[in-house]
Amino acid sequence: MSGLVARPGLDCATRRRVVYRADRPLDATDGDFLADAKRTLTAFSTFVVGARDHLRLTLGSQLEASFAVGGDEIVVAYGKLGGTVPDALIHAVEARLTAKFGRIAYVD
Amino acid sequence: MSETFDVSVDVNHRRCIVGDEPMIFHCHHYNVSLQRALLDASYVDFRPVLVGAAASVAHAQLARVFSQQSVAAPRARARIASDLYRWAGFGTASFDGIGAEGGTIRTPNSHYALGWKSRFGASSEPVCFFATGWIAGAMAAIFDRPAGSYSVRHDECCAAGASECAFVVTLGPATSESYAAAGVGALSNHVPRPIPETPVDYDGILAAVSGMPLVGDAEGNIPAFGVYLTRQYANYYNRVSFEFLRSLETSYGEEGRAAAEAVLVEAGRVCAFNTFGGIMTSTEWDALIRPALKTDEDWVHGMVAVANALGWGRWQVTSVSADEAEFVIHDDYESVGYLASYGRATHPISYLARGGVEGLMTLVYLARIVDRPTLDTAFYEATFRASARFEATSLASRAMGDEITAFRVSRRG
Repeated sequence: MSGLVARPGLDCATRRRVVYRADRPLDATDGDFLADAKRTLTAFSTFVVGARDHLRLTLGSQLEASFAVGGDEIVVAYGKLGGTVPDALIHAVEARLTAKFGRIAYVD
Repeated sequence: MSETFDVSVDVNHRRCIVGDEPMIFHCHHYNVSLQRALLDASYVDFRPVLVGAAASVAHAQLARVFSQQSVAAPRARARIASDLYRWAGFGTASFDGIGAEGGTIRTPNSHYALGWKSRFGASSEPVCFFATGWIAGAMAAIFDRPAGSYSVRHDECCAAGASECAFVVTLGPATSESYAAAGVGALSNHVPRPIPETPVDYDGILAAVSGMPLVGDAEGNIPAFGVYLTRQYANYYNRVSFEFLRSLETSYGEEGRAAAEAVLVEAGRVCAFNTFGGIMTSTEWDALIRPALKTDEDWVHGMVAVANALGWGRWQVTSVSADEAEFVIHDDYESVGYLASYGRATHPISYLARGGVEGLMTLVYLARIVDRPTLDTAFYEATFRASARFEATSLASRAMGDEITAFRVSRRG
C-alpha cells in the first residue's frame, strides 16, 4: 500500500470531484472500499474490442465513484446537484480509501 | 427498476420514443441556460410559452401512453405519469392526494430548480416552468380532460430559497399557450455516408452507451458523465426555440432573426462544452472509448459515436482535420420537429447542432480536452471568446427540404 495521489476539482455539476490516482492498475474488487455502495459493473469490453470494463459505485444521491478496470484513477464526485459539499462524507470515504490503498497525498 | 410505460428505440433513425414523443438526452447546463437565455432575450413575457410547450408535450404523450396501455383509472395513470417524470430525470412529482379538482404537489427534487442553483446560484423567482407545464398537461391526461383544462401556480421554488418546490393545481383554463402535438415527425430512408478510416467502433459504442442504465434514480436524477442528464422532449426544445425565433423575427425582421439565432447557437455551444466535455473527461470515456484513440481526429469520431446514442439523429463526421471538418446529420431532431410543426423552413434552423459541432471542434483542437481541463465558466469564456475559434457554415438543411443537415466547421483566427 503506497497510497493515492489526489487532485481536487469540480465536476460539470459544480460538485466536489476528486481524482485519486493509484500506483497500480485497478481491478473490480478495488470497489470494495465502498462495500455498502450500489455497484454497477458495465462490461464495455463485450461491446468494443480493446475497451475496459467500468465500475460505478453510488451511495444514494450523495456520492458517485467510478473507474475503468485496468486504469489507475478513481474519480469520486461528492454531493448532489445544487447541494452543499458534504465534508463529513468526504472524510469518511477518504478514511476507507486510506485503509484500502494507503495514505492520500493531495496535489493542486 | 422496470418502467410502467413502453420505451421504443428506433436505431436506424437514432430515436427513443415514449408515447409518440421523441425523448432526447440533454444536460442541466443546456436546460437551464436555454431557459434563461429565452427569458432574458425575449421582449415579451416568455413564461407562458415555456409552460405551454411543456403542458402540450406532457398531455399528448401521456394521453397516448394511457391509450396504448388501456389504462383508465386515474390512480394508475397518476402512477405512470410519476414514473415517467422520474425516469426522464426531471425529479419527482407525486400525484397522491391530488383529485380531479386539483391540489398541491410538493417536491424537494426538481431538475430545473437544482440545475439552476448549481449553474447560476439562487434565483430571485421560481424557475420550474417546465415542471409547471408538465404537471398541468399530465393532470389533463390523467383525468381525461382536454389540454389546457388545468392551471398551475408555482410560487415556492428550491432555486429561490424554498425547501421544496410547490405546484398548486386548479381545475380551470390554463393561462399558458397551447400547441398541437408534433409527434415523431417524418423520418428519412437514408444510407449512412462514408467516413474516414478510424479506430473508433461506432456500432460498438452505440450499443454500449444505449445499454447503459441512464434513467432517473429514486430522486429523479440521472447523474452521468459529470453532469445531470434529462431525457427531455425534443418537441419541447423545438417549440420553445422556434417560438422564440418566430417572436423576434415577427417583431424585428432580419435583425430579430439574427439575434435569436445567436442566442440559440450559443446555447448549443454551452451544451457541447458541458455535455460533450463531461463525457470526454469521464471514466466511462476512459473505459469504453479512450483505449482506441490515437489522434485528435479520433477524439472527434469518438464523441460523434456517443452523440448517436443521445436521440439527436444519426451524426457522422465525414472529414476532419485540425482546421476543418464536415458533419452530416440524418434526421436531426430540430429539422424533423420544425417540419412537423411549421412546415418547410426558409433558412437553416438546426441551431443546437450548429453550436454542438462548433463546440466539439473547439473542445478537441482549442480547449485540448485530451488534457482534461476544468470545465468551468471561466474556462468556457476564455476558450469560446478567444480570437481563434471554430465557425460552422450550413451546407444543407433538412428543414429546408434537403436530404440531410450538414455543416462545414472551419477554424478562424
